[in-house]
Amino acid sequence: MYVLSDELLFRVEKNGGILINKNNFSRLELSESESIFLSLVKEMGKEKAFNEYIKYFNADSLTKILREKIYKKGEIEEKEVSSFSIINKIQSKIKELKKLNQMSFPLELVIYPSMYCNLHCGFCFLANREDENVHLADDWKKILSQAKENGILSFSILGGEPTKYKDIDNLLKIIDSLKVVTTITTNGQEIKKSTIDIICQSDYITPVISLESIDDFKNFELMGTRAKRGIELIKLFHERKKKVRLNTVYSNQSEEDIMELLKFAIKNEIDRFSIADYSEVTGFTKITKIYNISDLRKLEEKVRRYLLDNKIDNFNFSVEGCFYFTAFPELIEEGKNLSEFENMYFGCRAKHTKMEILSNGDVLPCIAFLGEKHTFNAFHQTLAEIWKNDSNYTEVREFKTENKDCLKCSMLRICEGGCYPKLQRTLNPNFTKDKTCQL
Amino acid sequence: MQKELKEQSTKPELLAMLKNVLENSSMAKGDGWAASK
Repeated sequence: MYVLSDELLFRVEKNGGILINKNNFSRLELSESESIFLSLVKEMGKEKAFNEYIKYFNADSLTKILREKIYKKGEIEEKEVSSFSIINKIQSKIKELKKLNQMSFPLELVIYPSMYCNLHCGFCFLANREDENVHLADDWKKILSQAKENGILSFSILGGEPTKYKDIDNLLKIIDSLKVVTTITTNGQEIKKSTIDIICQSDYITPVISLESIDDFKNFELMGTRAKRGIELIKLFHERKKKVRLNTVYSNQSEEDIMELLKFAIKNEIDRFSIADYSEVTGFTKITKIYNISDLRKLEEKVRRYLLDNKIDNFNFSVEGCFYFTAFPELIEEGKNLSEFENMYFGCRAKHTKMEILSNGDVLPCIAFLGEKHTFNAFHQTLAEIWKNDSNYTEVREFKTENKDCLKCSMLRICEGGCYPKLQRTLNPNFTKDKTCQL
Repeated sequence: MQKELKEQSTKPELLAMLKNVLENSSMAKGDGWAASK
């Protein structure tokens, strides 16, 4: 019998469906017919699914999906479900998602097991880094298991400082057993040996070390601590042959600071070096913003040039941030050619793809909603219910810009005027264009 | 699996470049979106 490969995540979506490779996130968009077929494959294997499918539909609609290298030999414990009822269920689900105009479930779940942090970085978006509301890992297990059952693609553990969360080792063990790709972002100052060991042994958890500069004085200015421990932790993971990432927030470092970090990252074979746009969106950050998205593009070009000049291939470098595409006016016109799924996938994550859960269980579509009212709690309601009904989600999904420039822009469906919580703080949200936009 | 370009694009290379920018930048704060890249 042929079944769907384990490395693929299959989800029914409003466009039909999606297959995502869990290891490299490459994607294949599916039509409604293909999604119905793969739903049958999940229940009864490829051969029987085909025989059932052609009882109701024309086999021509499966030409492409039958040829894809997405199957493997395996066994399925068949349940007593009729193919007719499966087909009906999938058709109804697609119809409902179309009506709601949303993805079936978030793709990424960000959790903050504790808001406590041992540092006070000036670029941090949190208002309060103390915490008395922590839940034990077993409580999180219920939430994370639900996410897995509903088709989550990745977990991200943030904080506060997650390695200072009192039940971090058990939480990491639970995540490892769920086999969902996960990152844990840490300042690396006081991480326990047991935590390092669990991370090193996991095939699913990747550490991301926050470091702002190799220079001790600069790092102290931005993070309140010298660079030494972060550097040592990266070297330790490297020595233990564990892939490790480096993340830097581009707040007020010089280009030289970033280039020194880059050289360090190359030398230590960092798995991915990311530079994030410094966002002041929560209003709780302390460093004055001096760079915009176009400055970030210039920085990226300098880094790419360095990699090219030094013939360094395959180094994983990325610049991250909402609306970064607006620094590329020469490409914007092509926005009209993005597919329905890509408009969601690349669009506002708060609207389409992300859920964030604070230590007390409060749910936010994105950390930018930190100052907004939180009406749902993941320890009390199901994630599926929250995804569908939380007013923060429904409001951001329903928001339509009326700004004249935005209405003419080819990226309208991706952007819709900009960051929703930020626009809500202006006098006239529907007519305001997000100042991050460089167009 | 290949990321498919839409056929109606007049300049497929520009569309591919735009997708590349969107793909690489769609993760803020170093969290899990592109966890396995």
